[in-house]
Amino acid sequence: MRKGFLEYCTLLILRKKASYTSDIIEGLKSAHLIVVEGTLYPLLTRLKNDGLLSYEWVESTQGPPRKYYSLTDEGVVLLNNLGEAWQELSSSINHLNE
Amino acid sequence: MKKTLSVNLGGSVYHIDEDAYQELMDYLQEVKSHLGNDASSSEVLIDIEQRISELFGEWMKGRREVITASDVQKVISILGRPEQFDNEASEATEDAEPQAAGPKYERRTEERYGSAHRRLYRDTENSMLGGVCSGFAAYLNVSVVLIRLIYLCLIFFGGTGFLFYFLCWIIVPEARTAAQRLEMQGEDVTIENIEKKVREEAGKVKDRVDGYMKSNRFQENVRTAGNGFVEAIRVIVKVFFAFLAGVIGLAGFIVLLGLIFALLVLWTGNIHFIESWPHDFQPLQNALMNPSSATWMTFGLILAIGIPFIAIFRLLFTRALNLKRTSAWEIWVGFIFWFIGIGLCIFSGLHLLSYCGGVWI
Repeated sequence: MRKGFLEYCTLLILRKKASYTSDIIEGLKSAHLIVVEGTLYPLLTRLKNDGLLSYEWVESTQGPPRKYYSLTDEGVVLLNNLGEAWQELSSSINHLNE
Repeated sequence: MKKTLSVNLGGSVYHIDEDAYQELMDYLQEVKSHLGNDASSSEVLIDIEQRISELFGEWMKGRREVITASDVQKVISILGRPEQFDNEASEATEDAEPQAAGPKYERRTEERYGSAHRRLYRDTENSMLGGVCSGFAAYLNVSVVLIRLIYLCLIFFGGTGFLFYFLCWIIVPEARTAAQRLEMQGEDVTIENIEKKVREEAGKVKDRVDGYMKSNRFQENVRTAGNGFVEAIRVIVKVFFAFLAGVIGLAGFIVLLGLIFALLVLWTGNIHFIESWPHDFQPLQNALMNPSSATWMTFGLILAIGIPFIAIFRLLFTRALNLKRTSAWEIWVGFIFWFIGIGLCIFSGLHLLSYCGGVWI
């Protein structure tokens, strides 16, 4: 069940605003999810190659330019689908918990 | 005192201690092997290098001039070791320390030289016509191109290639299931491998779909040209076979004509023609000058040879000339007449032989 979970979380974070890797890590941390940065790079690149994310280079005064990722339209669609799936899962579990 | 090197990390220059450099190199190498060989891995590597560069940049502010081993270790703990690059996110309550457990690198480079039992299959995933060449290439573990080249050479300088290819197409089975494809490449048939293979091929299908959608004009043109060439070859093959059929048909036709001619000769009783033969053929002459059995013999031959020819002709050209399919009664009639023909041949043959006595033998 964990596979894809991280992708879902990433997409959720990116829905709010375009973010850079560190921002995403922070976002995940605030949700009590700890990952190393190395996990994110392949994940983000994969999502980008699948057409769900796009990025922009933003110049920085202090170091190399950074990739700021944001959701594409496809990404938004997928996110909504995932949201529905999540709701279904959640209600199943709740039902079983009764 | 330590020796330092200069490195270019993501476009910026840093001074780095020799031992730190080694540690960083090893780490980047580990990451590289972990990521494997697909198209996205180089992108990810660049991202990682740039991130490392950014971190170093932040730490080198102020009076610091050199990256030390402890800096490298810090970077590694932030980025994580490759075995931590999986999809698992750990909850904050769990032990979030980077695991020092033994490295379990995903072996991305598949073992293509499996010592396991390798079997010959037709590889229809990578096939041009029937997958025969691809199958052989997989079995012998050489490039498909090589096998195809060899095969074409054989055809052009020998000519027996066609039949061999056709036979293989019929006899060698197609590798359909994932297990069969693993066997074809000599890898162990385990659940793990099958899973890998299915995923690999799902990826290939996706790539194929992507590739198709992203293909540019040039590629399409080359592909059309290639297909055209293959089509031309196929047409040549068909023409060749048609030609063969034609030649055989013509030969048979000539034979039939000869027989009919003989029949006419016999009927009109043109015996002088036969009389003029040299004396070695005396017994044959005697036999032939007995018109009735010779006549029957010829007639029988015509039937025995002609009917099969008609049948073959019908079979081959039914589709081409849009003839109706041979009905059952046609087949029966044809068969009966052919049988009669054979019978005539046998009887008149026997008669002719008896006529000559034991002189021939």
